[in-house]
Amino acid sequence: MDGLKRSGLWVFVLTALLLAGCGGGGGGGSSSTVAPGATSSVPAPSGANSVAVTLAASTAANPQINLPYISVTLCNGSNCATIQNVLVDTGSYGFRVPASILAAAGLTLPQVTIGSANLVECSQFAGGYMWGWVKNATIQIGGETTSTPIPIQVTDDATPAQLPAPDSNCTSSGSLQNIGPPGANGIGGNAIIGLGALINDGQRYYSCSGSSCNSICTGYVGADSSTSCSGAFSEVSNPVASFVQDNNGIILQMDGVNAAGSVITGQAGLLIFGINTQSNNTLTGFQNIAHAPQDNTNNPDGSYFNISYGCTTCTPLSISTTGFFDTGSNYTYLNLTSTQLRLDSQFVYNLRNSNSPVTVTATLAGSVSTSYVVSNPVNSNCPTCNAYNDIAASASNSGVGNQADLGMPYFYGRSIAFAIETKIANAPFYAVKNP
Amino acid sequence: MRLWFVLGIVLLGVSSHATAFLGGDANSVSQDGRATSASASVLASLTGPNAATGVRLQPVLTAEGVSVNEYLFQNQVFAISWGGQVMPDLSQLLGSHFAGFQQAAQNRPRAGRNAPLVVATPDVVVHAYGHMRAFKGVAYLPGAIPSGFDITKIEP
Repeated sequence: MDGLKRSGLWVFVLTALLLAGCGGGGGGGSSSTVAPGATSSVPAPSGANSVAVTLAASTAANPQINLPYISVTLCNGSNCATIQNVLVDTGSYGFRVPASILAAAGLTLPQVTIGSANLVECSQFAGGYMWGWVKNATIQIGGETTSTPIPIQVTDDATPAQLPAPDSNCTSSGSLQNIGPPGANGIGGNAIIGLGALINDGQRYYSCSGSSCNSICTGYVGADSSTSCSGAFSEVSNPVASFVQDNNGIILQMDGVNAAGSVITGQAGLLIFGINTQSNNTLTGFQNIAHAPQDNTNNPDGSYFNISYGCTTCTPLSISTTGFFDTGSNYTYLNLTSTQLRLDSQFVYNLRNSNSPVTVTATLAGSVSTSYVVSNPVNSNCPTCNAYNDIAASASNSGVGNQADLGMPYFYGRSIAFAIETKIANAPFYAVKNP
Repeated sequence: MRLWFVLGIVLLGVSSHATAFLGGDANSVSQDGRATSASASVLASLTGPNAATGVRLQPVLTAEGVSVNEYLFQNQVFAISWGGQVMPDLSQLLGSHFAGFQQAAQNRPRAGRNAPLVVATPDVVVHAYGHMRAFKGVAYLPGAIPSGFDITKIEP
């Protein structure tokens, strides 16, 4: 709700919006600055199925780290608008954009209705919830396009709010999460695109008329199928799965970065659509990471993989739990108890005294060995550093809960594939190619 | 009589949000969901080192399909854990402890985006994590943990 107290900031943001005709156009910067000491190894986009990934800039006044962006074009028929700085999130499913961004772009999208009422959604993230209309848009990224318009969420960021207040079953899990630019206390982008390994977002939906909203049901077929309204309407969903081609997954290839922090302007990575559909998206050299069995309590959507991780000075030496890859997490979240590490007041891991960095070793899906370095957090001598590969925060300062969230730091220097459910055998699964 | 009748209807209508079970008794369990053990009146026993504590475990399924484990000791729910594709309604699950949780949640330190939610007050500890369609979490009353019970074992 406080998202639009900062209208001045929005003016600034909206200048970053480019209005464009239909046809997408991948492009992306080919010049890249990586400092200090890191090497850029990611190729420029080529063909219809790849686009450049950039990182949010960091300044002393507005420090930002590990926020990956792409440009996305939305269309209503032949009316299109390209939105820059769209946060890439493999931990969610579906496209979400504030109403103010669409308005500034001059794009009007058709509302999805249930009878005479508007379809409205509450989408939840680990950090809070978003509340907004469900509207249809054709989505274009690079040379790829959805075959038809698909449902997206348009969040209500007007002051006063245009929608009735959401139910407590939506709001009770946390605070309102704004979509907004870095520094606006929002998620850090003009919009967010969820393109993980599942299709539907499975969130809470409502029919709203005038000043009242009625909960319809949750969107997924859950353990108690009597509560599901699957089939009654189309949910907000992963746009990649609706592409005409190259719709069975993504591969995200990120530059390697310096452990002490890097400044990357221009291209920082390459987002490739499709798996084994083109010459640039084969899984040659990748290691397969199978998902763990679906379980309503331990692995509710079947997207987690098993992971055991630890370090030589850790107590216990190793923890076995579930894990996931998430570009929407700008830290890696682990539960490390080690004489070499201490937690600061923000629950970020720091090295004690002059200890050398801690190497965390992990086994994914019971078979794939990998490692991750934890060192001191953000380099205060480099306020413009926007990429770090060695920062971690506690998954649980309470001693309960050990889940491993392998966030953006883990992606640098690696290629990670997300195979979308039902589109490829054994999906959802993941595959990793180490440097 | 008529007034009481109307009042009763109103209370029934809001009961799913007005009554909670963290801190409640075994009967409050039914406010949060449908028991999924063979019989709602039969509480499954815990296994492992926590078996000797006398703590009983009651699994339920909320109306939105979130699986919730409720841990009872001497007829009081002192801990819950959950897993589901949406977050459970914490105003329901935390009951009288919800307001304190919400206040602490707004003021909590956070490391980065999408950080797991950790709230720890002397009254209640809440830990929520995961991501869209794959939410997990635990909540417990630190002052009500039975002697000898390892609270770290309630992870879903």
